[in-house]
Amino acid sequence: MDLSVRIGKGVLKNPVGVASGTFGYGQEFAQVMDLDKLGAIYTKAISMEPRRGNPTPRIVETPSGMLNSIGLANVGVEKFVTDKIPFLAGLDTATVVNVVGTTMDDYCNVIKRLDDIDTVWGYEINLSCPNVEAGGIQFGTDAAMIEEITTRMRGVTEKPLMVKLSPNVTDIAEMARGAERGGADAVTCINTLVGMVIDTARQQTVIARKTGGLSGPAIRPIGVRMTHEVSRAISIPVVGIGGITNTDDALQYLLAGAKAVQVGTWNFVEPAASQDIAAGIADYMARHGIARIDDFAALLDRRKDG
Amino acid sequence: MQDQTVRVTANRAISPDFLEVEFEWRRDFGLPAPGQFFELRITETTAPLLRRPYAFSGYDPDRQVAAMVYQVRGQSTQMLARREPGQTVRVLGPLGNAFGLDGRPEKVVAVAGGVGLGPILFAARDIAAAGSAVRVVAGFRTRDLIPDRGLWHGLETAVCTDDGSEGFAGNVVDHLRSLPAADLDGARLLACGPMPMLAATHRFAQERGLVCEVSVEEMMACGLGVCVGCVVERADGEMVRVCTDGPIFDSGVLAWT
Ligand SMILES: Cc1cc2nc3c(=O)[nH]c(=O)nc-3n(C[C@H](O)[C@H](O)[C@H](O)COP(=O)(O)OP(=O)(O)OC[C@H]3O[C@@H](n4cnc5c(N)ncnc54)[C@H](O)[C@@H]3O)c2cc1C
Ligand SMILES: Cc1cc2nc3c(=O)[nH]c(=O)nc-3n(C[C@H](O)[C@H](O)[C@H](O)COP(=O)(O)O)c2cc1C
Ligand code: FES
Repeated sequence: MDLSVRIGKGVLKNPVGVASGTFGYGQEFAQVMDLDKLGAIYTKAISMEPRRGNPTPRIVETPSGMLNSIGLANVGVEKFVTDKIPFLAGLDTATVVNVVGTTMDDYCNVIKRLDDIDTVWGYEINLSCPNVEAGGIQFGTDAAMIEEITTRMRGVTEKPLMVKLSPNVTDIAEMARGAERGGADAVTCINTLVGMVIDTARQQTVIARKTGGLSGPAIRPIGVRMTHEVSRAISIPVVGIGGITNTDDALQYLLAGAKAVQVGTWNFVEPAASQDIAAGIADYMARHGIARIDDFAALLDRRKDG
Repeated sequence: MQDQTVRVTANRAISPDFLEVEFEWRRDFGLPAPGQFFELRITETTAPLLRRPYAFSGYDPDRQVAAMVYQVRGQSTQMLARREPGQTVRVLGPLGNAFGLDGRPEKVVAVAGGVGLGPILFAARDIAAAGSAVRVVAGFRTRDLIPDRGLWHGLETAVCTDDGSEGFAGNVVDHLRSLPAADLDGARLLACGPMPMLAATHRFAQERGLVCEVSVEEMMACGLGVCVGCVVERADGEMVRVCTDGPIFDSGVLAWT
């Protein structure tokens, strides 16, 4: 049985990763789990300059989920290199750097700064930032812009390049095609959905910036549906994410068409949960006679109305 | 820091407002220090989803039992109030830093507002046991909400009520102001309670040139320093995480707006 996953020129030893923004830079979790059991760690978004992020409250719980409005607060690429890479480099798991910026040059410059570092396995491009050059509309909501930025980044790296898709669009498959045309090696599906919670006693929104990104088990059916749709629209791999808490949830994504998965919000609830999922997937594959991760894709369509 | 499933050993109301829960905490989980907190999960399901942070109110190393004083606010605390001895909960901790940022002070005035009483009493007992002078000031809205006085047995404690129905009439900072200057001379203030009370205690400390350590509350998702949800602003503009850079801060380094 083979748990490995090929993405562009890279190979992940198993399909289970931990999602950007929910795992810091890995170190904090080393005390409660074995990080080497992960296929990949997707870092908190990294920008050229450090970012302070949004005002508080930044988080609020919702039914089986949460809203966050962290605002991509991060240490900036230089501090990431000096303070965070050394720890990540010592792990037997791929480091995928989640990249963010407000101009296309910003994105490319983060990649240029990191590309010579051997232990940076690849990049996941977070397009949920407003593009200052295009009047503040989000990079991730326009297929032509996704294609252009992916093409630009493809020009500065040979390493695996994943584009993380926003679900806050009318047609996510069209966005995925833009990424594929631009030369992405994979797409990640999905980022958070925009939501709002109102405190009726105070008659104001709970989140200081009014809206936040919804994540957690509440969004799992949406993530699975979008993974299903996107994996049928493009031929590059899909990394499925949204509300995964255990092996069964991860299997739903693999059966929907994903080649790899990420555990996000659940890391806050059960910080060691991600370490057992790869073994759980292996167990399921053994029981169902599935030899490779690629073989999951056809299973659903065998059923009449899958 | 450890993530463990432990048994509740006691859970009882100590006032119309407060409850106290005790639970197993083996020494090898790490000895909780006053001011530190843990993240509690009380369900096997996804609602409520996130763990909740609570400060230790005591630790008994012989019985290997930890305690926490709490107030029912929403879903998780309602569920916690229904937990019976023998049932289990999940605890992740000890988390965060502790009172006594520059080592153990010689003379302390420990100020509690509401449910901040738990960690303040823990700190006061710890400091008294080490031989320093300590005085507790605890504020409540009214006499009926004052918990079991046995909680501060052996500690010099001034009770304040907003409506004057027992003890000092006024809030904790009014009480501090009423003390003879010599009582506060060279004392370190420790404070835990609602933000407005912490801000008032900080201003008082500034006026008197005293150092004040405050325990700050913010909404938390992870408690581990990774989500960056729980930040507060420092006077120098830097955003710091309550869960890992705190929850105890020298009040002088924070931006009070
Ligand atoms: C470091 C730290 C230590 C704490 N120690 C204690 C303690 O010893 N005893 C205790 O009773 N409580 C303590 N709290 C607060 C405790 O976390 C909240 O009471 C708890 O999250 C409420 O959960 P709930 O599901 O019952 O209510 P929810 O439905 O989550 O919230 C009910 C109300 O409480 C407010 N609230 C929720 N979480 C917080 C928070 N973290 N800070 C401020 N307000 C909040 C919400 O805005 C809401 O209005 C502490 C918080 C922190 C950050
Ligand atoms: C607190 C928090 C911070 C996040 N930060 C980032 C980020 O920096 N970059 C990014 O691409 N996604 C970020 N995300 C989105 C997650 O990576 C993930 O796409 C989303 O939460 C859905 O997965 P989940 O339901 O398993 O959490 C963040 C999510 C949360 C909850
Ligand atoms: S609660 Fe997540 S960083 Fe503090």
